[in-house]
Amino acid sequence: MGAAAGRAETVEELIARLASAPAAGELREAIASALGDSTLRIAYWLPRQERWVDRLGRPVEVPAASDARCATTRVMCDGELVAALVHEARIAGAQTTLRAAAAAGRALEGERREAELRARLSDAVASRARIVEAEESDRRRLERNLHDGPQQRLVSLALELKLARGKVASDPAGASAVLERAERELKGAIDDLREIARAIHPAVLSDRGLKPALVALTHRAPVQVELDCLVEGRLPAAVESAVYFVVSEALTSAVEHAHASEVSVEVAHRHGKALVQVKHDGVGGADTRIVGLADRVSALGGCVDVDSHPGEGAVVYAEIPCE
Amino acid sequence: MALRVLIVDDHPGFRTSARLLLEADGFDVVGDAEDGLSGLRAARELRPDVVLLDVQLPDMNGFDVAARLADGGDAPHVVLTSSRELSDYGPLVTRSGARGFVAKSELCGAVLASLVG
Repeated sequence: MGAAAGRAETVEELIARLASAPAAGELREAIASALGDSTLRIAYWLPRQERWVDRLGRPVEVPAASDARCATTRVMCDGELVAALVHEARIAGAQTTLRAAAAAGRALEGERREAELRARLSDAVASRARIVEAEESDRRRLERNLHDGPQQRLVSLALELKLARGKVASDPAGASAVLERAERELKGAIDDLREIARAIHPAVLSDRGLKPALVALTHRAPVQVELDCLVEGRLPAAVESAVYFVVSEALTSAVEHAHASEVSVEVAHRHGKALVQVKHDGVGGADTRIVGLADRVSALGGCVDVDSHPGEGAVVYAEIPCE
Repeated sequence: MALRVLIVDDHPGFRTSARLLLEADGFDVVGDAEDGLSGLRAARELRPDVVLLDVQLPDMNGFDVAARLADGGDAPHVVLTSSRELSDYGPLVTRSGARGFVAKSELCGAVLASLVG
């Protein structure tokens, strides 16, 4: 009884301290002291991202249900989930715990907002680092593709022309056969270069816009693709590129990662936003390719969402502001 | 007597063209290999006079293969080759113990003979 009364008094003290706007970081100590639990930690809820973070915006785990050692008490503010107090199991459901959680709601909402800002900043830094890494990786792949493809073919072509020149006088039929091979190498090099150039940036996109570019892209896909592009006219070049990139990467993911047999692509322009939906019937599951997509789209202020369950296909949604 | 050549390169198109070109220029191409380890094995078995060795192989780089070829007794002359230029590799070619370097597009019997002669 005495101990319970002592804790009740400290909750009163906590309420008084909350009124005087405690400095950053003092809130945890005040609540821990009020509840007599030095192990207490606070996790802040980020509703848009549906994850928990600490005061510095770093991801943290919150136990789903109480176990023998610790339990969580949810903290609400104006009917919204704000934070969770992770504390010793022995004080779970205690009146003092519930009163402290109720009293701290408003103050924790303030800390939650700060944590959310820090988490966003840290996500932006990580995203920028991934974009730089992806660009570096693209450059390495481009160099390798040029080296292994057209460069090798042109080398063979140079050698075959040399060989043919040596045979022209002494063995015209042999020279002709070598020239035929050289011609094949040259055509192969042209095809390789066309593929590589298209992968860097499809000319049809900049010349004729999104719809013809998506028609060409989906037509080349190795699976059946149903395309519904409701975009008429042109969008800003960066948005057109991003939409094309989303569809292209999502298609590649559907084919190579998810082994889909049917894909549907819908693109629209509504309320100042380009909206993309790519749906497939493949195996679903996470693909790192989609992380690269999200980074590129978020750099334009947009967002990517994936609804995927192993074995049940997946839908990739992207929303990109056009202004 | 014709110099006996082993070609080590992972691109089949280059192996074919190089073989035809060198044979037309009077070399005896005794074999070819598509990576470093099979190149080393072929060099032991075929005892060529010259190994025309690509710098960028799938399992190991040509400089390491050149160093291992130089280790054996009665080592063949190694000529490194690449679709890149000599200047892309800085001093690595001279340090590798190879007799020289020829850009793939410049390959012909006369250049190879001048490097190993």
